[in-house]
Amino acid sequence: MAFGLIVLAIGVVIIYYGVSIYNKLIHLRNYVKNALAQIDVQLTRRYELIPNLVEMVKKAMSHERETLEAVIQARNMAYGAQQKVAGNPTNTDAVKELQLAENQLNTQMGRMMLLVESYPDLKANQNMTSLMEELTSTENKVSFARQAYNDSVMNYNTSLEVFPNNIFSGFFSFKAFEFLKVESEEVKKPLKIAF
Amino acid sequence: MKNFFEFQKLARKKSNNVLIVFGLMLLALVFAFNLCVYYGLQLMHGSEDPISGDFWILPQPAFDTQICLVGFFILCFVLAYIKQLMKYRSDPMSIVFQLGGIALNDRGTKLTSKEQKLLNIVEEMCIAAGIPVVPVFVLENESTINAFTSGHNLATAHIVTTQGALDELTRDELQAVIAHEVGHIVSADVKVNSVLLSCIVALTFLVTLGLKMMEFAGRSRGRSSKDNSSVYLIVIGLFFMLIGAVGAFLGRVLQSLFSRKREYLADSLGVQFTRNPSGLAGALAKIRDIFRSEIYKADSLNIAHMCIANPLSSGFFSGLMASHPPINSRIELLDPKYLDPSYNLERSRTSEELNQRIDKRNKKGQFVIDQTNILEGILVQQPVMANILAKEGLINLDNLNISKPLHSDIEFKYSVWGLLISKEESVKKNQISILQNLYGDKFDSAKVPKIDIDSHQKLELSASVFSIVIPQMKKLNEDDKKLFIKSIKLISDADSNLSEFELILLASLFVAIEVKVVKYKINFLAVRQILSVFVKLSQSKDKHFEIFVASLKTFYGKDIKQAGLKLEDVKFDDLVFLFHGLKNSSVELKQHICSAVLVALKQDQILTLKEIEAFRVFSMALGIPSPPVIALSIT
Repeated sequence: MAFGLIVLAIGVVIIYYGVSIYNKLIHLRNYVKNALAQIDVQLTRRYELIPNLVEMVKKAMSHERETLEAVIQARNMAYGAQQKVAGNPTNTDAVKELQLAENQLNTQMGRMMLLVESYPDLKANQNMTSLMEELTSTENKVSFARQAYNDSVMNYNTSLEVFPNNIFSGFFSFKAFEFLKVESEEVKKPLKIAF
Repeated sequence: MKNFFEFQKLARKKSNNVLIVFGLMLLALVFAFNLCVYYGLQLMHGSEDPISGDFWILPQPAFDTQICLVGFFILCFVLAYIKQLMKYRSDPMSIVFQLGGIALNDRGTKLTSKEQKLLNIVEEMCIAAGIPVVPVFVLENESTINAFTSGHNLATAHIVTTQGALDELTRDELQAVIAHEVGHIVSADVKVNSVLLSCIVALTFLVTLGLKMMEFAGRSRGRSSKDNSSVYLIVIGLFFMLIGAVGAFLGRVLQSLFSRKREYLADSLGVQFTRNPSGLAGALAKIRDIFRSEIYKADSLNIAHMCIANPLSSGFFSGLMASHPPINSRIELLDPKYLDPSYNLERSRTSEELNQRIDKRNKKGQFVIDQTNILEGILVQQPVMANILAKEGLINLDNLNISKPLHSDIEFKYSVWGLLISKEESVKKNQISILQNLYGDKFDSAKVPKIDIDSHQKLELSASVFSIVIPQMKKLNEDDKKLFIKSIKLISDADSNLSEFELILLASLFVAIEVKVVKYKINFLAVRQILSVFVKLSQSKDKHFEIFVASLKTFYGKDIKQAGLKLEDVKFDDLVFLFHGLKNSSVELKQHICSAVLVALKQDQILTLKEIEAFRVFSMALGIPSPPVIALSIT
């Protein structure tokens, strides 16, 4: 009788423990998914802002048309790539394509911003400064969202792998997530400084 | 070097240890009660009738009282906790509104660029922390740098910053400050803290209960003197009081300790969100060096533990009871290069702005006094033109409507405001509304005297008026003084055309009346900055550099390297800070500075009345007043 009670007690404890671990893992996994969605939200917002900026800059820099057109084209490419990824998030090719398009867009944006620097009137414009602040903030948000995603992936993966959670996670077949990495070739290249 | 994840782990562990100690303390109190009652009973019964039972199992009446004690404590705790919860539940924003906070989202589209930036930053940090975006409030009347969070859980959480934080911090620094606050929200500090506070409240109730018991026993003892139970009641009441008092005190100390450990946790969480430790280090260094962090009324509202830096002015118990660790030990963990005070001052210079102000002001007329006259005056102490003009300024006060209020203890403020308020209609309107905001109904705009004189005459008048009002301002109580200083600061900030002379005048005024110990070693940069301000008073603009070199030479008593040397630009707040530091430095240093300043003023062979007055208020602020005409020996 006493023995049976002890076994029962241990069983209850194990089940309770298992349920709490399971719930925690589910919680963390949803957190990761939410963080991933947040990146998409911020990317979209950025794509929406860029045409406004170009519209504003257009009047002041009419003879820089090529640059502006390049920006818009890169933006449209990136937007299209993002839509593709949104439709099919597991498609690694689409993700890679989005990353390439994003790199292209960043390069073009950087070029345009350099040009804006040489128009002091434009820079001092009230609307322009607020638009620039919006854009800076959105770019920050994109990178913070990626960072939050990586942080949440780290949390999730850690609690997946530690003992005794690894027994349960194996049993319920939870899978580890991949970290987002900087894939751009340009960033990885060593910096060259020409004098 | 540890990374921030390890720091988080460490801070969590340490603060949890504090919580364990807190729990142990409560147990120890019950144990102490056991001890007291046991020995108390033995004493009372005397040796002829030793009580039965042993130390751990108390006799029935004592055991009952112990149950009462614990029961009462738990009851009080639950009530206090419910009250705390209700406070947040019924109106989560009440603290913010009591402080005068304004919600940023309420204003619709009419946000200034700074406010827009703040909103963006809060969104960024909430994304980085993975929480829903929290509402933001701004305390528009606070020019110090601080921020805090309030609200009991994620749903009611909100962030409040001072206007000073918006104005003075760079984007990175503001981001770091907000990240720190988000860190407080994520680690649920408010919740834990209200548990601790409820414990302390319950313990203080024990003191009251003990007191009531003793009162009651004392009264019933008066009626029937041979009642043994009233003695027992008195003893028990005494124990209750003792345990409550000791517990409440230790509880406070532990709560402060917990709060300090959680600050480190919030710092390291902030770094996790921004991945930029120097942002927070920079903001903290700014709070330490130039701007303070006090918030008016913060004490009574119990928000200290939620701020970025201590909102209360420091006092006697500040070390033990401080809600925040010393700023420098936080900076050391974040980015040690900010430990050097000059590092931050170097960074916060704005050059063009000041130069523009000088150009504007220098074109106005000045009295030119003959060099030989001045020297004679100095040597033989006879009044020269400058003395006469200065006195004339004072006499002329009678013709203006500012002399009367000057001698009233309350209305002298109007004279000072009258001098500071600009002639330009738009600026004036702004300044008046600032005063109305600060003082409310007490401020009567009709009382502000209109002063229709040239601006350069007005300046000289200011010097005279200010020397009269200093003793009166010292009479004000601490809060009034703070408010008045703030009003002066705000309305002079609103007038963007402050000249060097006004800078010196206002800074000296602040330093003369504000008693504050600033531990700041005057370094080479500080000397250069102080001398630059005085050099720029000089009329002959083309000789500025030459004068500057000469005065530096006087200060160091030797030739100095001129390569890379240039006139420094100083912001008003820096100047106040420097003067404070100077005031607390040695007499020798003050003397050196004064003689160097004198050289700076008279090197160009022209001494204006402005220069004399500037020196006079400056030396007065340092606590070594000079007579109206400079009477230090000049070599």
